[in-house]
Amino acid sequence: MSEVAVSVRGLVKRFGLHTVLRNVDLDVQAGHVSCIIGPSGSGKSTLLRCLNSLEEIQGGEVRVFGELQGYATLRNGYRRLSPARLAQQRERIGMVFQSFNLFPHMTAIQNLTCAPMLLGQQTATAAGKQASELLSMVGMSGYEASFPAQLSGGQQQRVAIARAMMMNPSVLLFDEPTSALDAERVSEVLDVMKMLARTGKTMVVVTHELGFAREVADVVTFMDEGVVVESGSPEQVLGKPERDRTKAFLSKVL
Amino acid sequence: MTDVAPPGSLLGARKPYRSRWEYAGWAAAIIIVALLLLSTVTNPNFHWEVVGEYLAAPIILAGVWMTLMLTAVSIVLGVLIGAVLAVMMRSQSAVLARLASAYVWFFRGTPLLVQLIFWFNLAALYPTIGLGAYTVNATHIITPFFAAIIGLTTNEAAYMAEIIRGGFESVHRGQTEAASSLGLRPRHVTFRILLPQAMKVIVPVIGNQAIAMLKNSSLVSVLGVSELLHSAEIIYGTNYQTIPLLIVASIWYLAMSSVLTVVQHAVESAYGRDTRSRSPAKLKAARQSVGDQ
Repeated sequence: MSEVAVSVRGLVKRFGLHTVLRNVDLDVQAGHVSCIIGPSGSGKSTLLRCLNSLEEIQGGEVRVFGELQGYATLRNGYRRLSPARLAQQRERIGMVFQSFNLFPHMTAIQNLTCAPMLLGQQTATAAGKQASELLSMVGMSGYEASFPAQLSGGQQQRVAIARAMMMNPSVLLFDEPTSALDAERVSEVLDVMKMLARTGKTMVVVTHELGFAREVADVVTFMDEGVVVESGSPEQVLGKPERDRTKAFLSKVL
Repeated sequence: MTDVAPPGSLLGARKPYRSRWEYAGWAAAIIIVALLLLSTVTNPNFHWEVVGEYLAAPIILAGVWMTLMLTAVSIVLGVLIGAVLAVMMRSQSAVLARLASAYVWFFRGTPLLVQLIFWFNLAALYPTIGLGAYTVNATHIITPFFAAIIGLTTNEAAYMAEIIRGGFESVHRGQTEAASSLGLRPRHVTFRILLPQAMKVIVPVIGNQAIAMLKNSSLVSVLGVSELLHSAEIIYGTNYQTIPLLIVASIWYLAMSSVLTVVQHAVESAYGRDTRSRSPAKLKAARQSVGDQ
């Protein structure tokens, strides 16, 4: 279990003159669940979006299982990869969004099957079979023909998780997956995530659910103002934080 | 306790609120419209007998047919070229994006009438068109009809490009991100994810453009293409019944745009704006009804 799944070194991200990430380092071991917590605007979501190259970066490196993400090395720097190469890299990295982002013109099962079928990786029958299995795994059997608009937020997010799983990603990214949900819908999504964690999926989760982090995470990373303030086991970071900023944040949230 | 309703009236019919002025408005509107109608009917200068005589004249019907054809061809070609331009404008390639923007800038920035006359006189700029052995005399190719089609199409494409681009922009950014994160290639994202959603915004506007084109096509009468207006002109050029023949043309324009409006509303309600809130069964039925047209 000591293989490094995600490795971030010296990551710098700027939006114009505004620096969002300053020299961020992050390591996620294969099979681990890594939770990133921090106040709004701390750069945690941006960090996640850099992992699958949804953002261009201005410095540093992101590697997933050793492969440099988003860029090719030149003799004196880096060059952004072509859209097709970026897409190829993203096939291996699943992502679940805060606002679900299911495709509204497709049924639940079409949302799952469209990527492997369009990419020619699976036949319609094979994709359909796998999609049904995944939908039942997230507790959504019977909703295959439903359109996203007919589903509750929690149901949509579970379909979205199943969709991300369709590509058999080596890493799953979650960007505040329960922040847009009604309070009574949060647990159904967290339960699915806990189940995925138990199956040994490598997961990077940006979340405000500290209870989830405490229960499931192998590593908790606290970020503030674009830097990693503190990182360690949940007991350590959430229970006995060393830094004042972490303590201040936790005292406000808990 | 006078507020207590008499028994049995709790289920009584509810009438909507109507202002007194509503009734007064109806009365005024009816009187004004009736007076207008009366004056048009009784005023002999309208020459309704001439209108009746030419309403279904063969030359007018041929003009109607030509107007419909110009509209259909320009809209279809305009949508196709406009779609290509829209994809170019959204492209990562700065060359393609700038070229498409320059096209839209030029064709939206000059009057359609000027463009039409320009195309018609293209032979003055380029007497011959082609390369080497495949050179032809421009005046033979650029017939009035051809100039009309090119003029209407190139102009319409510029507007369609903006409409289609706007349709793409209307789709939430998260859709592109979700599709990209699944590893879908840019062409899949554009055509399988964004386009079907953009259509909800694009289709109603295309209907609007078609109705506008129906009337804008009358501009090609200056090139001598015998569409509806020019056919009317030909007739009143010989019998000097200008007003009655313009009425004939207007009746046909109104009829055609009314039919197009009905079609537009049907298409809009069938698969236009609210697929999000539809049940699968209704959506399937709607798709079939669109396919039947």
